[in-house]
Amino acid sequence: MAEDGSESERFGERFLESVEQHLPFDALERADILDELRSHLADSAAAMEAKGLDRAEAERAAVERLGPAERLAHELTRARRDRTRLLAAAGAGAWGLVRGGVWGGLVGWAVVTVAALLISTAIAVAARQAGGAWSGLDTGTSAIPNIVALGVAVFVAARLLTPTFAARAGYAAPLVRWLTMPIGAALVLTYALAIWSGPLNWPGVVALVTLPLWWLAGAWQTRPFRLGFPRRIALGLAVAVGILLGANALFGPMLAATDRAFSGWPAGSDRIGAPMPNWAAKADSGGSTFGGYEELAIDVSDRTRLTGWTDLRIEAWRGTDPARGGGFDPTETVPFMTAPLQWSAAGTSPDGNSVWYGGQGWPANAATLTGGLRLDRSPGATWAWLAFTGVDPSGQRHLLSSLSGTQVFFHGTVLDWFGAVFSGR
Amino acid sequence: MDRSQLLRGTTALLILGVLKDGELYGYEIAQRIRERSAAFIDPGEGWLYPALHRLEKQGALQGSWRDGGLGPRRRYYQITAGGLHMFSAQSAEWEQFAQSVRLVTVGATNG
Repeated sequence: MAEDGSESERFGERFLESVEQHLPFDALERADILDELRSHLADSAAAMEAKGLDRAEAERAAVERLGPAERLAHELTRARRDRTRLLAAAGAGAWGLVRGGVWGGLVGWAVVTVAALLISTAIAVAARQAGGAWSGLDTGTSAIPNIVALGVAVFVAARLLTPTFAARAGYAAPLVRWLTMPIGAALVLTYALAIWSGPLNWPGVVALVTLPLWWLAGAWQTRPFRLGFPRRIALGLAVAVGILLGANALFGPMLAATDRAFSGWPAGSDRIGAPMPNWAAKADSGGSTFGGYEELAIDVSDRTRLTGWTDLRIEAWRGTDPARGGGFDPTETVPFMTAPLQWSAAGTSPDGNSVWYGGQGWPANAATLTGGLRLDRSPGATWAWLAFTGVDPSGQRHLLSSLSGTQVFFHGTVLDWFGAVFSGR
Repeated sequence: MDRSQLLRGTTALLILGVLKDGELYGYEIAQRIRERSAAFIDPGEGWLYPALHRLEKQGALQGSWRDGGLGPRRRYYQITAGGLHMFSAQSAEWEQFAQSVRLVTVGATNG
């Protein structure tokens, strides 16, 4: 039974579809190649029809003269590859990375931030309904939504890179991904471990270490991907923001006030050493913070009183937030960090201000003890109690000042984190 | 002898040879080669388009799209100055090769 014209045309189109499946170029370039082959098939079939073949036979014969579709596609691909294509592919791939990264970063950040706010609001409302109060995420946890948004950016960037590079270079995307996946994952891992720096806790470390998985998931995809305006996401964000505004109007401010002012002696401070000697009460202490570096100083009215004392130092003890019934961490028996104290010259203040407390002149034997600690390098520490201490000639350690408390969090790279964990800080 | 083996080394020469007389599209190029060779060179057209695309990449040809009237659009190829230079060089080389083959084979027959 002879096939009718439409069936024979479908035979030619099936051949062209098969060629297209094996062409690794972008849609525009594939369309050009297929149009050229389509016009060839039409001319060739028409010529054979003129020689007496019926239309279906002519179509088949025209297709057969072009040879197997896969071989033709392979030969065409080889013919169109050259060095300039690789350079163009590298440029297009880099541009795809930037576009995907920015798009994914913005969309990811918006979605994750609003989702985090919704969850926080739900927790705060639930806490309030239960008669309590919630003071919000700690500093380390607050960074996690940003890391997740970074993961979305990495995913979209990788999602664009593999098909874009493959189409421009003229190589099959399933082949190209075996290049983009390991190289990209190694670069992302390097960034996650050694370059990203910020407030961290264990969940944050896990989020960063798994960042290459976002890359691998994106680079595995081989089908072309178009960035567009995400209407559904925008609508979802608008609804979420409406819910947040509504909750704020109904319930007022969500988070409990976090007044961390503290006076007196925190529970457990007696484990540091004997109470301050009487003369130390005449001393005063102060401090300043630069990034995570805490510099502290104590003015001592008569440094001769510390003659024979050893191991003068600042101690940082792990504690709990005063706003939550703060005290010393009951499991702590030693400070998590110490730093030696240095004397200034006797009789002069370090800053040149020769006025002692109460307007008197700087006493002849008065001096300042100064020391500093890097408090943002201790995983797990959220509150630190700081004290000046020294060991008297009998071997007894004493407190030299009242305690001051400060909120702390780890700030650094993942490598810094593991370095601190393994060194026991 | 497998003619496709002979064709493989001469595709560029054959294409440039027919295009130096004027621009043509793919099917016309195949037909012109077939006609000029008295149908001796007619192995199918699977070799033609990869060769055209390679020559275009090399700058020997310049392609341009034209409306195909009622049918699909067509891509016409025109030889460039570089293509003419390539044709001259390959043609001379081919003549020398063919002459050398003839000398060898005639010598063998006579010997």
